Amino acid sequence: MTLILAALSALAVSALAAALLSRQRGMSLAVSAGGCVAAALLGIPAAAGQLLGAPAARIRWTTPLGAAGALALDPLAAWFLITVLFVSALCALYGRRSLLASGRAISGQAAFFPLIVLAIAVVVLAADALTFLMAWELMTVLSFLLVTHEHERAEVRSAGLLYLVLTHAGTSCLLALFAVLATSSGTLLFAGMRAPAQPAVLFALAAVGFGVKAGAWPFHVWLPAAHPVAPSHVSAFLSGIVIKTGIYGLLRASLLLGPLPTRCGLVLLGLGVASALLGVLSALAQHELKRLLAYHSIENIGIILMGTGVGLAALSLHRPAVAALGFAGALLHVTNHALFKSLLFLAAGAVGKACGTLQLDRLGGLLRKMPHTALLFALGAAAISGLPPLNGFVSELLVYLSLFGALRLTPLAQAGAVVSLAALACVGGLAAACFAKATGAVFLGTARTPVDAHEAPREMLLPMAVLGAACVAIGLAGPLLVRALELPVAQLAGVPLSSAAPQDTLKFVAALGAAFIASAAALWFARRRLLLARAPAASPTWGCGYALPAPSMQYTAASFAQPLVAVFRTVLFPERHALLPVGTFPTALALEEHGRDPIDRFLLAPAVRAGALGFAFVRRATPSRVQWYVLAVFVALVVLLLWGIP
Amino acid sequence: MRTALHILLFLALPPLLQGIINRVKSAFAGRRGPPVLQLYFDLWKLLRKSAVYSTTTTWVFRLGPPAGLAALLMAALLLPLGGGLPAPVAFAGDVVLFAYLLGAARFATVLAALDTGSSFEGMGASREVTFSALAEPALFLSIAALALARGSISWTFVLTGQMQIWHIFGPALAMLIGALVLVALAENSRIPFDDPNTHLELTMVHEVMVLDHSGPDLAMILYGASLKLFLLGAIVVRLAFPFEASIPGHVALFLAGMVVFAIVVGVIESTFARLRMNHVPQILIAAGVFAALAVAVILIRVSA
Repeated sequence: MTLILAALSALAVSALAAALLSRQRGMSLAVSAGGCVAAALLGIPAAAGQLLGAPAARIRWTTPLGAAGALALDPLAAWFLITVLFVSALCALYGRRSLLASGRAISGQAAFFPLIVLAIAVVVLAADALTFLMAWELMTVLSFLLVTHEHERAEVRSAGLLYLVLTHAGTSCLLALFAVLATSSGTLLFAGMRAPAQPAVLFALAAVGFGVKAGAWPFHVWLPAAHPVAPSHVSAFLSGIVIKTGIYGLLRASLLLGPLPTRCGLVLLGLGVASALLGVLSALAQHELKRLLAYHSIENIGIILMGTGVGLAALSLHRPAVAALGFAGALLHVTNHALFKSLLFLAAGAVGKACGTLQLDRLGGLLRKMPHTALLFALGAAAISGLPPLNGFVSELLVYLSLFGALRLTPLAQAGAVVSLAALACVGGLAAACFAKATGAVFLGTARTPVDAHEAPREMLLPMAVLGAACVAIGLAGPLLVRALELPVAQLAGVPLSSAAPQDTLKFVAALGAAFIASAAALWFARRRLLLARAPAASPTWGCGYALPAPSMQYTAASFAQPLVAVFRTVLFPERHALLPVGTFPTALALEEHGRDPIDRFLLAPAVRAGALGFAFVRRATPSRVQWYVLAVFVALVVLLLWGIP
Repeated sequence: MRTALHILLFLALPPLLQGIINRVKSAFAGRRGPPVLQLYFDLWKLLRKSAVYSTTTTWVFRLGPPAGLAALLMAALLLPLGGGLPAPVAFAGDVVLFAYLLGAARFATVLAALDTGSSFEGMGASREVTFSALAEPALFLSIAALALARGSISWTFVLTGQMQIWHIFGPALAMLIGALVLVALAENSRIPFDDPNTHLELTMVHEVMVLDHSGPDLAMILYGASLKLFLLGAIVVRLAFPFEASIPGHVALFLAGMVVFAIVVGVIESTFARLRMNHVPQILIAAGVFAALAVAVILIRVSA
């Protein structure tokens, strides 16, 4: 615990120092990144020790008002803490260089970053409701401040506001959840909390509260708005880490609430299927790289929720081995998604910096100008599409194994498992399609508009390379993963992961993955040898007889995705503005299509409009002087105090 | 020894399958047709030729064929011949790895196609990913049905000793075979989904994606395509011909089954027209519905 506390203080000190030094941009950013790296170096070994069986560590205190508080490091917290510290250190290193290059004032960015890492670390470590909620709130506000870095743009301000409002709606559910838990068990400490008679109702509160944070369907509307407008290392951190706190919260709440009815797990499974499918389908319809990546976060949260849902359902049906596989898949996918999604966002940031745009249909051919960024993006794309031999495949495989296991549960769970299997398979194919589109449109072919792009500087490439290496390493780690996941899974499922016996599977997957790489390399060199004697000729791409191909004739990202978008029109509801040709000699024609979120369009926007009407009425009915409001606040305070005295 | 036999069969025979299909089609068309071994000759010729590379392309284009073929070779290690011949590598969950290795091969081919910057190849790539994404649920539902019927998720177990489940789940297995044949035809871009014979306007899926490859690269692609058809065909054959015998007899039985499969594909290609592009998703969804029905039937039988 000493090392963990040292890591937390490194974060706090660097945040403070960065704030004090904010006049000197270089120093401030260096201190901020240094703090994050120091925290990772101090905290990860301590947390890893916890995963390998070190005794659980905790500290307790009592506030002057008499409430007990505690921080505790158990295996579940350790698993999340490692991911948080590792990815945040790399994002901070990248952010130091990219913010320096941006040339604008960094305002609070340098100080806020270590502070939000600190807040998330405390969320993960908190062992009482008060500490948890305070850190949770700090995290929410800091994400808002980090997102609104470029606050002079209207879309950034509105995205930040949407995020702030929706996450606070979620937090109110969490307040209710913990208030009920604390009053029914008489303590704020997690260790002493017991669920009252109706855990399903409380679980619904947790699902909404944490679901909003995780960006699960249908609470996801803020995510594709807020993540793309932040600076890229912040987008990487938000998509990679911050939304995972929602998953952590759900898992922690399921532990606090004790045995849950099967339907809770099945509802989560359903939310997972909906998030995964709708997330990837919406991503396919996107034309902007960072927005596309943001929608994929919804998809991956869906996959994580599927694993969690199967885990909870199997647990309630007393099939701990199936539950262990589900939780293991969910936990591993949390880490995997943190790795490849932050890699992809960082690479997208490098592209945006080099080209000044992230519109897919204006980019192209960047592989020649940014070879390293392109290689790393392609690696991340293959990993997020779940392709072997990379890490995404391993965690999806564990989720598949748990779903196959769930085929032998109750009829309702069987039906859920069958639907989920088909959905997960479809999601895999669609994700590969979407990332083929993104990689192809940005890096392959020739440039669609002339840009003078340069490779990203080494300080930005290095963090990306570390993330890429981690993706490969987890893909080939095999049975070592069982060792690492053993205790966190035991905490959730009641039995260690090895009791579900995935060792053989993981061993063969790793071996075949290595063999795959080796045989691809062997074929590559065989091909080179064959061509050595007969030098290949170079010519333009064959245009099927057309003599003057131009870059603008390349297939665009929009055309690439069109067949799939057309098939799934009925769930995507694209908004269409068409000026169709009329008459014999049509003059003007135009066609524009936007994939606007159905939840936003049909649920949130009408609700907000209705709310605005209501508030307009209230505003007209109340006096317009500030003093009246101050008086009202004062009276309310006095009434509450009087009420509280006896 | 058995592993060597398995690898030999899976490595040497795929091009033969193409030869048989082409002979069947020629017979229907009243032609003599190319020799059965034509694809072997083509591969040998291509391996001794040089290549032409587009000036647009990069290492992604050059990596496409080796990576795609390597993924298919790994997938070949997961399928059993049945009888006394298990797959060289078998473990719980190899069905998932098999499907995702096909996905990895596709990803490599699609990126290589996009690397040329040609709108033709972009079009082919787009359709390839569309159809495969829609075929994926049918494949996994079929796997789920087999997993339910046999209580295992390893090809070696699922595709061996089928006799007893034909007695219990016969109708469901028939539907599964229908779904898997459709998946095999779609995944291999064959009629009615795509016409492998023409290289331009009519053929807009697989063949158009590989327009720019030449020499050894094209050899790898052609061989990989024949291997992929062989793999998906082997699954169908093991399900449709559940008979088993001692090893030499069993190999003969399996090969006879593959010949029948080739003839069926040839007959389909000679008697059906290619579907209009916008009808393809409907057929693939129909395949998924077949597989889902099979799952339902097996679930009811298992729990009854």
